[in-house]
Amino acid sequence: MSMSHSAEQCEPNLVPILDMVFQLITFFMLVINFKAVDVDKNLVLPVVGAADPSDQGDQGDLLVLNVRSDGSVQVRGAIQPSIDLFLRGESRAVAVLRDVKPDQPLPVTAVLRVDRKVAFETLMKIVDTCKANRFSKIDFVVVRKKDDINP
Amino acid sequence: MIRRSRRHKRKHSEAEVTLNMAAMLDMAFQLLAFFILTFRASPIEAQISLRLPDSPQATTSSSVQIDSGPVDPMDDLNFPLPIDLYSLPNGELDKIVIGSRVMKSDDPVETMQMYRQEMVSLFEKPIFDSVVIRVGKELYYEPLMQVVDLCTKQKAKDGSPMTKISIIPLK
Repeated sequence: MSMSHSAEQCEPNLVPILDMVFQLITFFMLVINFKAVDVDKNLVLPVVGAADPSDQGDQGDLLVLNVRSDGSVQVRGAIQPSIDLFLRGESRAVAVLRDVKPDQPLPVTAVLRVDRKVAFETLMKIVDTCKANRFSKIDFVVVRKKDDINP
Repeated sequence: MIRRSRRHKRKHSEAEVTLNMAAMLDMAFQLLAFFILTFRASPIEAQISLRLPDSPQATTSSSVQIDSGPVDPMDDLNFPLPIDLYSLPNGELDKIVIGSRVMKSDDPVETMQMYRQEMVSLFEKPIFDSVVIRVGKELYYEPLMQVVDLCTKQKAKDGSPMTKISIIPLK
Protein backbone atom coordinates (compact mmCIF):
# COMPACT_ATOMS: atom_id res chain seq x y z
CA MET A 1 0.00 0.00 0.00
CA SER A 2 2.71 2.45 0.94
CA MET A 3 4.72 1.46 -2.15
CA SER A 4 1.92 2.36 -4.49
CA HIS A 5 1.46 5.63 -2.66
CA SER A 6 5.12 6.60 -3.21
CA ALA A 7 4.92 5.62 -6.89
CA GLU A 8 1.92 7.86 -7.29
CA GLN A 9 3.89 10.76 -5.86
CA CYS A 10 6.83 10.30 -8.25
CA GLU A 11 4.73 10.38 -11.38
CA PRO A 12 5.69 13.43 -13.45
CA ASN A 13 3.00 15.90 -14.41
CA LEU A 14 2.65 15.52 -18.18
CA VAL A 15 -0.07 18.09 -18.64
CA PRO A 16 2.20 21.14 -19.23
CA ILE A 17 4.39 19.32 -21.73
CA LEU A 18 1.32 18.02 -23.53
CA ASP A 19 -0.05 21.53 -23.59
CA MET A 20 3.15 22.86 -25.10
CA VAL A 21 3.31 20.09 -27.68
CA PHE A 22 -0.25 20.76 -28.77
CA GLN A 23 0.55 24.44 -29.15
CA LEU A 24 3.50 23.56 -31.37
CA ILE A 25 1.33 21.23 -33.42
CA THR A 26 -1.25 23.97 -33.82
CA PHE A 27 1.46 26.34 -35.04
CA PHE A 28 2.78 23.91 -37.64
CA MET A 29 -0.72 23.03 -38.81
CA LEU A 30 -1.48 26.69 -39.34
CA VAL A 31 1.67 27.43 -41.31
CA ILE A 32 1.56 24.30 -43.45
CA ASN A 33 1.05 25.09 -47.11
CA PHE A 34 -1.69 23.03 -48.68
CA LYS A 35 -1.09 24.58 -52.12
CA ALA A 36 2.17 22.70 -52.53
CA VAL A 37 0.83 20.84 -55.56
CA ASP A 38 0.26 24.08 -57.45
CA VAL A 39 3.66 25.50 -56.64
CA ASP A 40 6.89 24.34 -58.23
CA LYS A 41 9.46 24.76 -55.47
CA ASN A 42 12.36 24.39 -57.88
CA LEU A 43 11.69 27.73 -59.51
CA VAL A 44 13.96 30.63 -58.69
CA LEU A 45 11.64 33.60 -58.63
CA PRO A 46 12.92 37.11 -59.33
CA VAL A 47 13.65 39.31 -56.35
CA VAL A 48 12.22 42.80 -56.56
CA GLY A 49 12.08 45.78 -54.26
CA ALA A 50 8.76 45.92 -52.51
CA ALA A 51 5.89 44.59 -54.58
CA ASP A 52 2.49 44.28 -52.99
CA PRO A 53 2.13 41.19 -50.87
CA SER A 54 -0.06 38.43 -52.22
CA ASP A 55 -3.65 39.39 -51.60
CA GLN A 56 -5.94 36.76 -52.97
CA GLY A 57 -9.11 38.22 -51.54
CA ASP A 58 -10.94 39.42 -54.64
CA GLN A 59 -9.12 37.56 -57.40
CA GLY A 60 -11.64 34.79 -57.79
CA ASP A 61 -10.22 31.44 -58.73
CA LEU A 62 -6.52 31.12 -59.40
CA LEU A 63 -4.77 29.14 -62.08
CA VAL A 64 -1.12 28.83 -61.16
CA LEU A 65 1.27 28.38 -64.09
CA ASN A 66 4.86 27.54 -63.20
CA VAL A 67 7.22 28.50 -66.03
CA ARG A 68 10.60 26.84 -65.77
CA SER A 69 13.85 28.26 -67.09
CA ASP A 70 13.72 25.91 -70.11
CA GLY A 71 10.30 27.31 -71.05
CA SER A 72 8.26 24.29 -69.99
CA VAL A 73 5.08 24.99 -68.06
CA GLN A 74 4.02 23.02 -65.02
CA VAL A 75 0.42 23.14 -63.89
CA ARG A 76 -0.96 21.22 -60.89
CA GLY A 77 2.20 19.21 -60.56
CA ALA A 78 2.39 18.05 -64.17
CA ILE A 79 4.36 19.42 -67.11
CA GLN A 80 1.99 20.45 -69.88
CA PRO A 81 3.20 19.41 -73.36
CA SER A 82 1.05 22.11 -74.94
CA ILE A 83 0.07 25.08 -72.84
CA ASP A 84 -2.28 26.30 -75.55
CA LEU A 85 -4.21 23.04 -75.54
CA PHE A 86 -4.34 22.99 -71.76
CA LEU A 87 -5.57 26.58 -71.47
CA ARG A 88 -8.16 26.00 -74.17
CA GLY A 89 -9.58 23.10 -72.19
CA GLU A 90 -9.52 25.08 -68.95
CA SER A 91 -11.17 28.04 -70.62
CA ARG A 92 -14.01 25.92 -71.98
CA ALA A 93 -14.51 24.19 -68.65
CA VAL A 94 -14.63 27.45 -66.70
CA ALA A 95 -16.95 29.06 -69.24
CA VAL A 96 -19.40 26.17 -68.98
CA LEU A 97 -19.22 25.85 -65.20
CA ARG A 98 -19.53 29.58 -64.54
CA ASP A 99 -21.87 30.31 -67.42
CA VAL A 100 -19.57 32.95 -68.90
CA LYS A 101 -20.57 34.48 -72.22
CA PRO A 102 -18.11 34.21 -75.13
CA ASP A 103 -17.34 37.93 -75.13
CA GLN A 104 -16.69 38.14 -71.39
CA PRO A 105 -13.37 37.51 -69.66
CA LEU A 106 -13.13 34.49 -67.41
CA PRO A 107 -13.40 35.07 -63.65
CA VAL A 108 -10.08 33.34 -63.14
CA THR A 109 -6.71 34.94 -62.50
CA ALA A 110 -3.75 33.32 -64.20
CA VAL A 111 -0.91 33.47 -61.71
CA LEU A 112 2.43 33.23 -63.48
CA ARG A 113 5.28 31.92 -61.38
CA VAL A 114 8.14 32.43 -63.75
CA ASP A 115 11.75 31.44 -63.22
CA ARG A 116 14.08 34.44 -63.17
CA LYS A 117 15.97 33.15 -66.21
CA VAL A 118 13.04 32.79 -68.56
CA ALA A 119 13.53 34.87 -71.70
CA PHE A 120 11.11 37.68 -72.40
CA GLU A 121 10.09 36.12 -75.71
CA THR A 122 9.03 32.89 -73.98
CA LEU A 123 7.12 34.83 -71.35
CA MET A 124 5.24 36.87 -73.93
CA LYS A 125 4.22 33.73 -75.81
CA ILE A 126 2.67 32.34 -72.63
CA VAL A 127 0.98 35.65 -71.84
CA ASP A 128 -0.40 35.83 -75.37
CA THR A 129 -1.68 32.27 -75.05
CA CYS A 130 -3.42 33.21 -71.79
CA LYS A 131 -5.02 36.22 -73.42
CA ALA A 132 -6.07 34.23 -76.47
CA ASN A 133 -7.88 31.83 -74.15
CA ARG A 134 -9.69 34.65 -72.31
CA PHE A 135 -7.53 34.67 -69.20
CA SER A 136 -7.29 38.45 -69.08
CA LYS A 137 -6.31 38.78 -65.43
CA ILE A 138 -2.66 37.95 -65.13
CA ASP A 139 -0.53 38.19 -62.01
CA PHE A 140 3.23 37.81 -61.86
CA VAL A 141 4.68 36.32 -58.72
CA VAL A 142 7.96 37.66 -57.41
CA VAL A 143 9.90 37.31 -54.21
CA ARG A 144 9.54 40.29 -52.02
CA LYS A 145 12.51 41.98 -50.49
CA LYS A 146 12.09 44.50 -47.72
CA ASP A 147 15.00 46.72 -48.64
CA ASP A 148 15.46 48.11 -52.11
CA ILE A 149 16.42 46.38 -55.36
CA ASN A 150 20.11 46.77 -54.75
CA PRO A 151 21.15 46.87 -51.14
CA MET B 1 -9.81 6.17 12.17
CA ILE B 2 -13.03 6.14 10.22
CA ARG B 3 -12.25 9.59 8.82
CA ARG B 4 -8.78 8.46 7.68
CA SER B 5 -10.17 5.43 5.86
CA ARG B 6 -12.73 7.60 4.07
CA ARG B 7 -10.03 10.00 2.91
CA HIS B 8 -7.96 7.13 1.72
CA LYS B 9 -10.93 5.67 -0.10
CA ARG B 10 -11.53 8.98 -1.92
CA LYS B 11 -7.87 9.22 -2.89
CA HIS B 12 -7.93 5.73 -4.25
CA SER B 13 -11.00 6.37 -6.35
CA GLU B 14 -9.39 9.61 -7.76
CA ALA B 15 -6.28 7.69 -8.76
CA GLU B 16 -8.39 5.26 -10.73
CA VAL B 17 -9.89 7.90 -13.03
CA THR B 18 -6.56 9.60 -13.80
CA LEU B 19 -5.87 9.52 -17.52
CA ASN B 20 -2.68 8.03 -18.84
CA MET B 21 -1.02 10.96 -20.57
CA ALA B 22 1.94 9.00 -21.84
CA ALA B 23 0.14 7.55 -24.85
CA MET B 24 -1.34 10.89 -25.78
CA LEU B 25 2.03 12.57 -25.41
CA ASP B 26 3.59 9.91 -27.58
CA MET B 27 1.08 10.56 -30.34
CA ALA B 28 1.46 14.32 -29.98
CA PHE B 29 5.23 14.05 -30.31
CA GLN B 30 4.85 11.97 -33.44
CA LEU B 31 2.60 14.60 -34.96
CA LEU B 32 5.04 17.28 -33.92
CA ALA B 33 7.94 15.40 -35.47
CA PHE B 34 5.99 15.07 -38.74
CA PHE B 35 5.22 18.76 -38.92
CA ILE B 36 8.77 19.77 -38.04
CA LEU B 37 10.26 17.47 -40.67
CA THR B 38 7.85 18.56 -43.42
CA PHE B 39 8.04 22.26 -42.55
CA ARG B 40 9.76 24.35 -45.16
CA ALA B 41 9.79 28.09 -44.70
CA SER B 42 8.85 29.66 -48.01
CA PRO B 43 10.12 33.09 -49.07
CA ILE B 44 7.77 36.03 -48.88
CA GLU B 45 6.05 36.10 -52.24
CA ALA B 46 4.37 39.10 -53.78
CA GLN B 47 2.31 39.67 -56.87
CA ILE B 48 2.45 42.30 -59.56
CA SER B 49 -0.83 42.56 -61.41
CA LEU B 50 -0.57 43.85 -64.95
CA ARG B 51 -3.08 44.36 -67.70
CA LEU B 52 -1.18 44.15 -70.93
CA PRO B 53 -2.39 46.11 -73.98
CA ASP B 54 -4.63 44.23 -76.42
CA SER B 55 -2.78 45.42 -79.48
CA PRO B 56 0.80 46.44 -78.87
CA GLN B 57 1.65 49.79 -80.33
CA ALA B 58 5.21 50.77 -81.01
CA THR B 59 6.10 54.14 -79.62
CA THR B 60 9.01 55.91 -81.19
CA SER B 61 11.47 57.22 -78.70
CA SER B 62 12.45 60.01 -81.09
CA SER B 63 9.44 61.98 -79.96
CA VAL B 64 10.66 62.07 -76.39
CA GLN B 65 13.75 63.91 -75.34
CA ILE B 66 14.74 63.61 -71.73
CA ASP B 67 17.90 65.22 -70.50
CA SER B 68 19.83 64.18 -67.47
CA GLY B 69 19.52 67.66 -66.03
CA PRO B 70 16.68 69.01 -63.92
CA VAL B 71 13.22 68.39 -65.28
CA ASP B 72 11.59 71.42 -66.82
CA PRO B 73 7.90 72.13 -66.26
CA MET B 74 6.21 70.03 -68.96
CA ASP B 75 2.70 69.84 -67.60
CA ASP B 76 1.06 69.69 -71.00
CA LEU B 77 2.88 66.58 -72.06
CA ASN B 78 0.58 63.67 -72.80
CA PHE B 79 2.77 60.83 -73.94
CA PRO B 80 4.12 57.76 -72.23
CA LEU B 81 7.58 57.47 -70.80
CA PRO B 82 9.50 55.05 -73.04
CA ILE B 83 11.96 52.73 -71.34
CA ASP B 84 14.07 50.47 -73.54
CA LEU B 85 15.71 47.39 -72.05
CA TYR B 86 18.52 45.89 -74.09
CA SER B 87 19.83 42.44 -73.35
CA LEU B 88 23.11 40.67 -73.85
CA PRO B 89 23.03 37.42 -75.87
CA ASN B 90 23.11 35.45 -72.59
CA GLY B 91 19.93 37.18 -71.38
CA GLU B 92 21.54 39.52 -68.84
CA LEU B 93 20.68 43.19 -68.83
CA ASP B 94 22.93 45.19 -71.15
CA LYS B 95 21.62 48.72 -70.89
CA ILE B 96 18.54 50.76 -70.13
CA VAL B 97 17.62 53.69 -72.33
CA ILE B 98 15.14 56.34 -71.28
CA GLY B 99 14.78 58.85 -74.10
CA SER B 100 18.32 60.01 -74.83
CA ARG B 101 19.66 58.91 -71.45
CA VAL B 102 21.63 55.67 -71.54
CA MET B 103 22.30 53.69 -68.37
CA LYS B 104 24.95 51.09 -68.96
CA SER B 105 27.53 49.40 -66.80
CA ASP B 106 29.49 46.16 -66.79
CA ASP B 107 27.58 45.18 -63.69
CA PRO B 108 23.81 44.77 -64.23
CA VAL B 109 23.25 45.62 -60.57
CA GLU B 110 24.94 48.98 -61.11
CA THR B 111 22.88 49.55 -64.25
CA MET B 112 19.74 48.96 -62.22
CA GLN B 113 20.98 51.39 -59.59
CA MET B 114 21.51 54.05 -62.25
CA TYR B 115 18.02 53.38 -63.57
CA ARG B 116 16.59 53.76 -60.12
CA GLN B 117 18.28 57.12 -59.61
CA GLU B 118 17.07 58.27 -63.02
CA MET B 119 13.49 57.30 -62.21
CA VAL B 120 13.63 59.11 -58.89
CA SER B 121 14.77 62.32 -60.60
CA LEU B 122 12.28 61.89 -63.48
CA PHE B 123 9.30 61.40 -61.23
CA GLU B 124 10.26 64.07 -58.75
CA LYS B 125 7.51 66.00 -60.44
CA PRO B 126 5.07 63.55 -62.05
CA ILE B 127 4.56 64.46 -65.72
CA PHE B 128 3.81 61.08 -67.27
CA ASP B 129 0.54 59.20 -67.30
CA SER B 130 1.87 55.93 -68.59
CA VAL B 131 5.04 53.98 -69.27
CA VAL B 132 5.95 51.91 -72.30
CA ILE B 133 8.66 49.35 -71.66
CA ARG B 134 10.27 47.91 -74.77
CA VAL B 135 12.15 44.76 -74.01
CA GLY B 136 14.83 42.81 -75.86
CA LYS B 137 13.63 39.33 -76.76
CA GLU B 138 16.36 37.51 -74.89
CA LEU B 139 16.20 39.52 -71.68
CA TYR B 140 15.68 37.54 -68.50
CA TYR B 141 12.46 37.90 -66.58
CA GLU B 142 14.14 39.19 -63.41
CA PRO B 143 15.52 42.53 -64.66
CA LEU B 144 12.24 43.14 -66.45
CA MET B 145 10.26 42.70 -63.26
CA GLN B 146 12.68 44.91 -61.34
CA VAL B 147 12.10 47.67 -63.88
CA VAL B 148 8.33 47.14 -63.80
CA ASP B 149 8.31 47.10 -60.01
CA LEU B 150 10.08 50.46 -59.87
CA CYS B 151 7.60 51.89 -62.38
CA THR B 152 4.66 50.81 -60.23
CA LYS B 153 6.11 52.77 -57.32
CA GLN B 154 5.98 56.05 -59.26
CA LYS B 155 3.12 58.52 -59.34
CA ALA B 156 1.19 59.46 -62.46
CA LYS B 157 0.43 63.04 -63.41
CA ASP B 158 -2.79 63.09 -61.38
CA GLY B 159 -1.00 61.82 -58.28
CA SER B 160 -2.38 58.30 -58.47
CA PRO B 161 -0.03 55.32 -58.55
CA MET B 162 1.40 54.50 -61.96
CA THR B 163 -0.73 51.67 -63.30
CA LYS B 164 -0.62 52.13 -67.06
CA ILE B 165 2.43 50.15 -68.01
CA SER B 166 2.73 48.58 -71.44
CA ILE B 167 5.32 45.94 -72.18
CA ILE B 168 6.17 45.34 -75.81
CA PRO B 169 9.05 43.67 -77.63
CA LEU B 170 11.93 45.86 -78.69
CA LYS B 171 12.37 45.99 -82.43
